[in-house]
Amino acid sequence: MFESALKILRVGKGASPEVLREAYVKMVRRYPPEHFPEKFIAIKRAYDQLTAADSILQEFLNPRALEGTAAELAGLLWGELTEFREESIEIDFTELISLIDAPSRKNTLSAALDLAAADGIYLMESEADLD
Amino acid sequence: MKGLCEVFGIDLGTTNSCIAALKDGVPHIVPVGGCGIVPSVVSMDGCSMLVGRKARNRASAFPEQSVRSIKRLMGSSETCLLGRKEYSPEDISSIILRYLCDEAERIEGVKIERVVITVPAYFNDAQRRATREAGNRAGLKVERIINEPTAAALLYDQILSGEKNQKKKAQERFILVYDLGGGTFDVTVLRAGEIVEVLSSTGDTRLGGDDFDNRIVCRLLETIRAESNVNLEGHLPSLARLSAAAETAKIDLSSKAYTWIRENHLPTPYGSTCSVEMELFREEFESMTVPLLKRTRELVLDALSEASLKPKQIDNVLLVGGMTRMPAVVELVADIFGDAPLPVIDPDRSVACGAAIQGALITGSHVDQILIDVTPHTLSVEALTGNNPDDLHPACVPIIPRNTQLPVMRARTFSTLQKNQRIAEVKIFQGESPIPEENTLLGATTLSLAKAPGGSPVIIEYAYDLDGIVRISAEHKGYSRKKEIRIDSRDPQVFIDLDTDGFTGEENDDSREGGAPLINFVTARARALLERMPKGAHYDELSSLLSRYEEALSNESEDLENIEDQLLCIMEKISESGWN
Repeated sequence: MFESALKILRVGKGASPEVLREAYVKMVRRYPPEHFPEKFIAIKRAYDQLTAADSILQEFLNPRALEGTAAELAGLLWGELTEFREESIEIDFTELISLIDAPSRKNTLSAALDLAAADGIYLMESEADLD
Repeated sequence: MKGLCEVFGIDLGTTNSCIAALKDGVPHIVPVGGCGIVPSVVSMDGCSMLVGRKARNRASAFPEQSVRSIKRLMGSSETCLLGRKEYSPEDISSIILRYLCDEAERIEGVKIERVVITVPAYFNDAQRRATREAGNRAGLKVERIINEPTAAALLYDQILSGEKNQKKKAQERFILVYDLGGGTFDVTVLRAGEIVEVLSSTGDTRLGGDDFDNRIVCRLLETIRAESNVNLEGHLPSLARLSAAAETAKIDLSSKAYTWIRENHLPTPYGSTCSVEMELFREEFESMTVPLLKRTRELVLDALSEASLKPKQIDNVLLVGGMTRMPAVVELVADIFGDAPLPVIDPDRSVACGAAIQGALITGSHVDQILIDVTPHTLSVEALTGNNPDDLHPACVPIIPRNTQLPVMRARTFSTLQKNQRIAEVKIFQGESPIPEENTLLGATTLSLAKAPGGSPVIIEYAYDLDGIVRISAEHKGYSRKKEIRIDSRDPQVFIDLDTDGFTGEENDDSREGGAPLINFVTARARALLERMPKGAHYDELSSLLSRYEEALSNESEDLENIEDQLLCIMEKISESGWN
């Protein structure tokens, strides 16, 4: 996944945020969403993967996504926080994220997302007759 | 007409509408009715239908034969009576659209067939669909429905890039658009540089200038009740006149510290008449409307937090919509953003101009700007959820969260509930609530499954495109192949059969449209140059490089970078040397 994202954006390992941004803008100009929707989706996905924090953060900031996953996320992050008082129940995610070590932030958040997704979701059975 | 882009941009507003076109790359308003700003009012005079200024003038005298602010009903099933006929909101809007196009056709001397229509960013699918339908009923091909604040930002970005030295790399900046119109409020945060990207968008489709007018109308009604002992509430003929007077007073107060409202011979339900006279100070008006402005402040802060930005990071604030002329709005913006510059753009006309730019982006005649917008509402699917399989309850599971950039594709894995479950229902909702009933149903499909153990994974992939159409492909892992279906909220229920083998005709058939030209800024510029330049050595070189580049683009060749550089280089050389 990571390798293919690098290839799509045509950048090397360890590219800085500035280099990633520049590469992304260049690729989007080459493949504008208006005329290359599929390629744009791939470029956007690659860029999001390589710069993960923001987009994943967004999903967590969505209050609904928080419901039920907050505890897990907090649990997962616990060990890495340098300072976190137990009595604070309301979690300000922007704050929280800023406390996590930047290099490990991406891995931590993706792991939390995977965990959240694995939480049971079942397809509704149709009301129509079963054959 | 030469240089005129064939897709027109229309701002179909609550109070006023506007139509624009791109001429030689520059958007310009078609001066319908002289100034180009057409009141969104329809009035029936005998058997003839009036639209625009004439209709507005007639509306305060004959409110029961007139319709205004129809945009607030878009997407609902309410109808309005005009003359002796019932009209749907789509009908009324289509009359306004047809009028705009007829007048613009007369002025420009061209036939208008294709348009881009703007809607408030926070409009939901039903409201967007109604707007598209209004265009269709007016005999127009609606190429795209785009968001008003985004359109305004497109125009601003174009003005900026015009000022910039083309060769210098554009510095990225954060822009916030505060769009308070006649009926709706939107706030959008963008990042603009070499590309224009919307980061977040939110709003209230029931907050606008009309609500400010209503506060004044309420005060007038109170005064009349106290002074003349007459209750005019719900009395249409007098309310229409009071509304018009309130609007005038509101506009007055944007430039004056106080104003007088005088209305004589107001009709009453009892056949008599009454009059009202009231002095209104700007401060009074501002304190009456504090809750309304407070709501816009909350939404501005929401949009910022969704974009993960702080107020001080915003470089420019764009004020769009007539209501932003109110001094209290400017004060509110200054209070949040300090001295972030407020570039002057026309609050009434910039949206239509931006829509015209979007029109040109679609046809590929304008390629210098690239726009990426977001979906303002969450797309979710109904599923039974819970931590314990014995205790499940239906809830909306978000698939594409709000403020996701479009187009987008997301996959999610679900599990079947029972052994040999043959059918699974996929219902797609739009909205922020976890409770399905509180969201808007976009469409539904039924998956027919092959026999499999309970809890077997079904992977459902959702693609959401620029036209707001959802494509679903489903795969029952290990039991079926991937199949795709397009869910358009206009269609009735559709059915995906994952059980039977073989093609159903719905599968991945529209993945490649052969023959369509590849359009990006490089190819468009090269083609334009080829069209203008004389045949010769450079011409041949350019045209062969262009075809090599197009080939490299479509198969993502390793050489792409190299060929693009060569192509840009030769184009620069040609334009510098000149051929004439």
